[in-house]
Amino acid sequence: MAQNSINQNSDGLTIQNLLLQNNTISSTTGNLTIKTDGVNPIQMKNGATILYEMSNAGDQSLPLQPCFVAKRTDIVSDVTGDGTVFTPNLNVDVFNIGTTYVDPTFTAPVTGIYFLCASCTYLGIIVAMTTGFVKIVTTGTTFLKYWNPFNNFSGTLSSTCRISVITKMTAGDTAIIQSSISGSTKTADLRNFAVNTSSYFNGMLIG
Amino acid sequence: MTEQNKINKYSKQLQVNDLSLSANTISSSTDLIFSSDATNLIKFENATVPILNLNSNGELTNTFQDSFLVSSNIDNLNVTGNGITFTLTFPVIKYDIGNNFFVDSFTAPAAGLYYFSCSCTFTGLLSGMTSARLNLFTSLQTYNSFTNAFKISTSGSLGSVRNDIITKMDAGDLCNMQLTISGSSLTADVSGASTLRTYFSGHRIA
Repeated sequence: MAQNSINQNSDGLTIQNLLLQNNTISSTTGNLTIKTDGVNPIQMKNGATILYEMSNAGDQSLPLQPCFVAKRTDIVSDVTGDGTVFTPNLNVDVFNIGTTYVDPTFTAPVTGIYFLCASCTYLGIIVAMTTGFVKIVTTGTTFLKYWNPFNNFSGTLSSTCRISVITKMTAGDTAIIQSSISGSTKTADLRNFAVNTSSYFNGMLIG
Repeated sequence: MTEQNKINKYSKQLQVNDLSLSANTISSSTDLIFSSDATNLIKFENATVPILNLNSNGELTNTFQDSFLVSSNIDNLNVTGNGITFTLTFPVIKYDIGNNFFVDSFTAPAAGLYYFSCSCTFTGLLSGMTSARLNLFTSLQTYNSFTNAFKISTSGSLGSVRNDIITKMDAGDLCNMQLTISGSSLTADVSGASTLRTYFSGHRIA
């Protein structure tokens, strides 16, 4: 039977198909397989902090993955209606893992693929307010959704315009929400609730 | 002179360059890198069960991650229209990895971040039904989407509203879909079909 070797000349260790060298564990032939005992999870840590965990049932979690939902709990009156483009100040964090959202701007902490979602809900819509939009403005790219606020105005309740995208961002790139309603006077209000979430900005690093 | 590798038989620790193998832990004093042979996979296994694959193209798949897609293939008649909130029902389970969907609600199996997407199609609307709200209800927060049900429908016939969110959940937290249409009588229907017009999906993403 071939013996395992400690190759002192190449400063690496070879065990069957595994090579341990410098800071790298590699397979020289076939899949590199990392397995547990069938009960406990596989974990990746930064010191004592869990960065990644794969349970024995196959559920993976990234407890520090940047993710946020920002909202307001009060109505902001007379923000648009006359074509004014405004940036909602969403100053209440439902949660903000990584502290990547600082009202009103999300900043990508690393280069990657991000999910971004914006929702603006309005009160005070009148018949002439037939044009509106919600934008997600990132560094280099603007995503836009138009809607007809009056046609979507739900009686005594509200009108919501929502947009969601998956986009590539470079570390340091930013994203904000902008919104506008046209056709009348500046009487449309951004609607928010103390408990429910109706105007919000949501984002996450997904890959 | 190159430093030699070390096997410390007393501490049962193996030191190879920046790598340290001790008990059940592999650690590195710099980046810890797992590498395949540029052709085959990097795999995580639970004993003999493969649970995660990262191929040489960088494509990561995990066939056990909690995920579901449910839909309705029937009409729920006269469920709202007068302000009553209807919790949507889903007789069709397209898939339910982890078996977390039960009695029209998803229950988070563990704390984490989850993506939910839903669409609700309604019909049987009267002109007074100008108010609609589709909620993605979770134990942490309820996410609203408002619209004018009658105006976005086709002359009171089919209309759809949708909602989606990435949200944080604790183990045991619930998520379901709720529709409220107001302004008239209890005659608004939620429409289902074999092609997906009323559906609810979710996925644990971290």
